[in-house]
Amino acid sequence: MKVALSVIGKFHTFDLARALHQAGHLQAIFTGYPRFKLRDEHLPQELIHTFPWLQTPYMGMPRKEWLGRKLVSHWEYINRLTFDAHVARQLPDADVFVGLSSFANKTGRRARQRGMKYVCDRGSTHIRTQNQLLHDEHARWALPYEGIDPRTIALEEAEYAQADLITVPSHFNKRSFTEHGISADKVRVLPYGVNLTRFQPTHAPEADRFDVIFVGALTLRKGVPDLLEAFRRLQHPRKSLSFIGTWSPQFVEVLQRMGLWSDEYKLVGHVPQERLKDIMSRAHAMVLPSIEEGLALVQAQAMACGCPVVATTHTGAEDLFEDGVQGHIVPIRRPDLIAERLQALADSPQARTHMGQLALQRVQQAGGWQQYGESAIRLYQSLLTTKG
Amino acid sequence: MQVVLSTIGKFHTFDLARELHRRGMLSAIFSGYPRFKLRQEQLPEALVRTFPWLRTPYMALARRSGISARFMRWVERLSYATFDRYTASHLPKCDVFVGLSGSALHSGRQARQHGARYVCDRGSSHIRTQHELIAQEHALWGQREPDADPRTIAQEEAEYAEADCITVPSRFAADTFIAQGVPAHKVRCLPYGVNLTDFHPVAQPQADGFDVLFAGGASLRKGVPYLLQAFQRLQHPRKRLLFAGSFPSELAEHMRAAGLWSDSIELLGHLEWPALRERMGRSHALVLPSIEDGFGLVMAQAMACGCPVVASEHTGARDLFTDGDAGFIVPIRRADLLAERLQQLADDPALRQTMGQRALQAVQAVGGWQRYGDEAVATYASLLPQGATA
Repeated sequence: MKVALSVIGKFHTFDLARALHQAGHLQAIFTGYPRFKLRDEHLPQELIHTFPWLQTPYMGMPRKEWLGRKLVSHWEYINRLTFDAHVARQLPDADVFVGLSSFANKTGRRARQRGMKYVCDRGSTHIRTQNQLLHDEHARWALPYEGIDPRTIALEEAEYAQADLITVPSHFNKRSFTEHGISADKVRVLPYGVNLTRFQPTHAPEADRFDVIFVGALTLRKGVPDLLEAFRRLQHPRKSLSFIGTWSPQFVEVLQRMGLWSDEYKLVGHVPQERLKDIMSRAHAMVLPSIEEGLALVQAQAMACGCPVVATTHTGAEDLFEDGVQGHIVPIRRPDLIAERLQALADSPQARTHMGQLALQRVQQAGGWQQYGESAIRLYQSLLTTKG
Repeated sequence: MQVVLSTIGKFHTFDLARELHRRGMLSAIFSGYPRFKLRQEQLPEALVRTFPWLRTPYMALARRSGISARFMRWVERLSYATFDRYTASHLPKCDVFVGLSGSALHSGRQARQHGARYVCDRGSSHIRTQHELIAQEHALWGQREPDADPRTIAQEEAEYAEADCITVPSRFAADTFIAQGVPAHKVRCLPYGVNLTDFHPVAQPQADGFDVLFAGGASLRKGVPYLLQAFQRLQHPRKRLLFAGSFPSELAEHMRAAGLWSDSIELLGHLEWPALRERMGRSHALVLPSIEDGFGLVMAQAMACGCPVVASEHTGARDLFTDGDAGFIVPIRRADLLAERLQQLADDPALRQTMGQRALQAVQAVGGWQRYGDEAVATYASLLPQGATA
């Protein structure tokens, strides 16, 4: 079996590529990244095909606000089409073509015309679910929402329709597809691999404190207002809340206007991975209150540091741990429930420590990228043996 | 008077920028070129603003084969639109904003909102005339017409409408604007400066031969088929037709199939300036039979080498010399007249020599970029209220 991959950036597709290559299945990987950024990917250079012309300047341009939403959207759209058209033209013979969604409509169609199987790899919910969730969340806080470019929605839906198979990283994602009438057989869950070599407990949390962390970009999509509200309700004499990851002053201003922000909260910003494990080890809990995610691996990283996770059902948490055992899972938009779970952890340090240990054990059983690759290979092979 | 310029590439806008800077009038120049490609332009770095994020990838892509023409047009349009938006949102205060056409609509509007005058600088004929002429030419030769994006035409016409003034490099170009209904007072003819330092007579044509030279990228737009027809009719025992510049193989195939090719045709490929200068000196005539050309600089270069020019009316030849004096000017698509004029030069070496000498004199009178700068400044100043130009 020969597999060709396409991905506009790197994401998890290069992990998949390495697993395929080790098993002798990789025919080619197409990417919008420039070659000089791919030297350390441990893949033979001749298997990597780059088309960085529009993607790299798009990524590299420091600020785009002055361009206006319409032009940026247009840039993204042209980027999708030119990358896709390039891959469609250059695609070598293979048995299976796996294209990251919204960049592979034409290539998928061409691949099928040439007798290949086409796998649409979607890293998140059905694009209409995603758009709806984001729309509702903005409406909930009376914030303007531009919406996903309708042309991109059309591209994605065309891909879903023509693909032989759609792969997603979580069962939450899969449900969003079946809710849109796509047959459950066509959508397969391949949870991302968890690479724990860089994550292990390095410190213990301080005994008489309760330090809550959030790891990720400070955005509405990540459900930050719900965490702020929950933290406000949490009763603890020495509580703290820290945000690890990128943040914009504009969004903090929005949170201030909502009356949710307090200057006691720490904006740590982006930290390198070797520091992240220390922060996670010292934290009493990590909260991931997201409204929409694919599979947020930051949960696995916290678990590997022995830090219990309180996450929403929309984070892929159920694919990583059991609610109430190795962490807590609550519905979205329920700051009251997040507060309750945090309070339980704060009130019972012993139970908290125990949950952290169970989380550590659980995540050690999770598969790495090797296993992701093996599952993917089995899945692709099953496509080739079935008729039609 | 403070002037801001914008150009998606370099073109003649950097020549203009240097002239304005020498007069203390350049406030900034915006370019789609990357900064490292503009280091040789002899302008203070602080005055040069670059937005290469899409133009440079576009140009790199254009050099590769395999990208469909449709996508390339999309990327090109996007490079124009983003460059325009960048210029508009970073525009410094100025009295006059001069934007090369096609990528300056929003910047021009922005400039006008700030009270500045907007000059649309167009390097060629009115875009509608240009597209019509090129489309007709392709139809005449049974070629698929290059698809014109109606949005490109609409955008450019919006610039013409918005601008306080439109500058073009030739009277031919100016006439097409007036024919398309643009008020004559809004259109100003500013022939490009001719830099003669690289072009002067260094060689003589051979007495017993007759070398006809074409310089530039050969295409239907440049009227190449008419030159081939004229060359067929030309009677001379040792005639040759030389093409300096790219000659697409499809065009050569097409011309062969049309029975217009012969062994006396030589394709020289791209020539560096010293080689081109020598070739111009050795040629008996340079022919520029274009269907559409903003300002055929090769004519001025040939004239500076003492080589008479036979050009079509759609080239800016009228701005360089008078028909029958320092060269010949004929209507477009008239292979018979091209052939007649070439025959005259071939049959009358004394006439050819006189014309070559007059060409040399005529081109020196045209003036360099300094003259262009003077005329440009006068044009811009005329747009401002009296007394505002100090």
